[in-house]
Amino acid sequence: MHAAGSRWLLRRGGVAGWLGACLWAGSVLAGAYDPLTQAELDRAVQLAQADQRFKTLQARASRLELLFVERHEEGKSQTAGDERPARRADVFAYLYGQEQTLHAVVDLNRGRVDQLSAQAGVQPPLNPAESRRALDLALADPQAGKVIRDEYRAAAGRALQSAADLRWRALIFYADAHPAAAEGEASACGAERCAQLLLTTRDNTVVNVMPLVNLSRNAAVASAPFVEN
Amino acid sequence: MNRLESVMSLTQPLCLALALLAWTGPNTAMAAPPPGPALPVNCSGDYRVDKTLSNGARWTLCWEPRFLEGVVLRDVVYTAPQGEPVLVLSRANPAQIHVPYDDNGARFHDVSDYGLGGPHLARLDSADCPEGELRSNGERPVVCLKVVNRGYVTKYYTTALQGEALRLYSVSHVGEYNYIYDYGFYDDGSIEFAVGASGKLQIYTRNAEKGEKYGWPLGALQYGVSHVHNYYWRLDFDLAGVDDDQVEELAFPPEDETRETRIKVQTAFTEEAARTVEPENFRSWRIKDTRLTNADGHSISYHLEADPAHRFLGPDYEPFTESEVYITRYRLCERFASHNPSWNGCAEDAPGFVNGESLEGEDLVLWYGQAFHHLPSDEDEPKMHTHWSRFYVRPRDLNSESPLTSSAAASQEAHPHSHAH
Repeated sequence: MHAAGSRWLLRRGGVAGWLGACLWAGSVLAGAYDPLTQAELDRAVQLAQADQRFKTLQARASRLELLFVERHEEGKSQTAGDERPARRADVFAYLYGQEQTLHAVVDLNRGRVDQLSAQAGVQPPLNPAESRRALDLALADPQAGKVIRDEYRAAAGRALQSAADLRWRALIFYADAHPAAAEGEASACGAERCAQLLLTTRDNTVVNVMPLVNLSRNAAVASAPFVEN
Repeated sequence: MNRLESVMSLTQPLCLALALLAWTGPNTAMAAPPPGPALPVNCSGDYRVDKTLSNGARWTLCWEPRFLEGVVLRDVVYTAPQGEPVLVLSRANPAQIHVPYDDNGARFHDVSDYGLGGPHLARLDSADCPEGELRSNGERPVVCLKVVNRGYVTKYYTTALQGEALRLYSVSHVGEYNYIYDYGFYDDGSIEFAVGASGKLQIYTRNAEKGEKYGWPLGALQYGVSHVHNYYWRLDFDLAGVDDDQVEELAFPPEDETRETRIKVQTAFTEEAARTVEPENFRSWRIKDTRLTNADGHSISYHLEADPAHRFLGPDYEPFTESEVYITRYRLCERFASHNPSWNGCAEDAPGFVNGESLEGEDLVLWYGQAFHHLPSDEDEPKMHTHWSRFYVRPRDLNSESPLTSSAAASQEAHPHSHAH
């Protein structure tokens, strides 16, 4: 970011570079589009979590998963070369039990939460903990787990010992995006939070099954559409 | 603010004073702001791109890594040689990668449901960016910038003019796929939008009946399942500013049933619209400024020449696949062609964005979709060769003559009408 740019100038230009960096850093400190720093991101989460509305929603949920935080994109007219541009953050979290996504807009310059709402039917991508939970649920399920183990053996030539034998990525799954796959617990996916798992062996051989897991119900879906005959 | 920023802001007045005292002219020129008319710069450090190509053409822009969209481009400004800066795009980014498999075994929406940014935006190193410049997001290099020789600008008998382009690319991994988003900023003002699909195949089958019907045989006892990559782009053109832009469709249907002649049909969109490609009539679109003209009195514009090799029409529940081009009024919540987050009632897909709103005097956004049907082959293993889907937007009447070939013609052609060979 600007810090890296300053170091670049220092390497290139010595003292003159440092002076230029000071001048430049002061005038272009945190451009309006620059991503938030780690410190800004951390502060945004702290401010959101301290908000009474956040606490109320968290208390009602069976589990709250922090999803991601990034710079809040301002409307176009609000970014017209401001001297001190807005530094606001979007904080997203999922409220299990309530089946809603929480969205807070945090103003870092003013140290306050500008708006906070929760809505159903919006499913931002899964965080690493959710992806791992989806895998664990799939492996523990009698039907899905068996298919995974059979397909792992076909791909790796040996038995699956544990999750450590796998690489996994998980996408959000919506029932209405793939009606043919949306059976059983998967039919509520979208309104509820569901994962579709992509699996490979540790040496990157694809495992021929893409289990569906409804995280809101802690249930793996029988992966019938993906079973090899 | 973090500690570094606090220190920097506190020392700024002192730095300013010392800088003024130490100013010695040319030796400190590299610390001075870049030359040319002042434009608001809304980014800093590695996120700021300002490149002047060998012939004097200049591109400036900002890039921002975002969690879902990946690398977003902003404030893209072109300055022709000896020209004035022209804002072309306020924002450009991937608006979806939709990947339905021919056997209906999966239907992915990668940008919205997985995200091209965050941990999925690949860390690049020198092997990713040979002879280029790595740009970082914090401590993580994620963008490669390089100026490349792009071949002939023009060739005319003894005139041979070679050109350059600035390329900016990043890589996002989604499962087995690694998508390369590669933008080309040409010396003539053209912009190339390219996606490279690389990595490894995601879905196989050992079922011979399924494999023969929906895929291609690969390796031992396996078939790669065929699939389509639908790449959508959100292009927020603001040609020479937000105001006074208009999208116009151009087509050249036969004048009559003899098909001996073709007529030009220009349709300006006054309302939001969804349009399909129509290669048999050479259908294309341009974004023009209704107020600003070049020295010949022609409206300045940028032209999107669709050149589709494949077209994907999906099932009823994928209405966003019905059209390749959407022209909508700017709305910040409208981000993805499908699976758009429906915060506060925002529509869920591009067809939903088109709801009869007037475009006259409004801020416009152009959406464009390109399809590629991937039939796997043995060459896709052990790792795939990159397959590129690309399109271009080119200046149309931005200047009253070519800013590149006019100076070349003056310097290189002594006898323009004598053909010695």
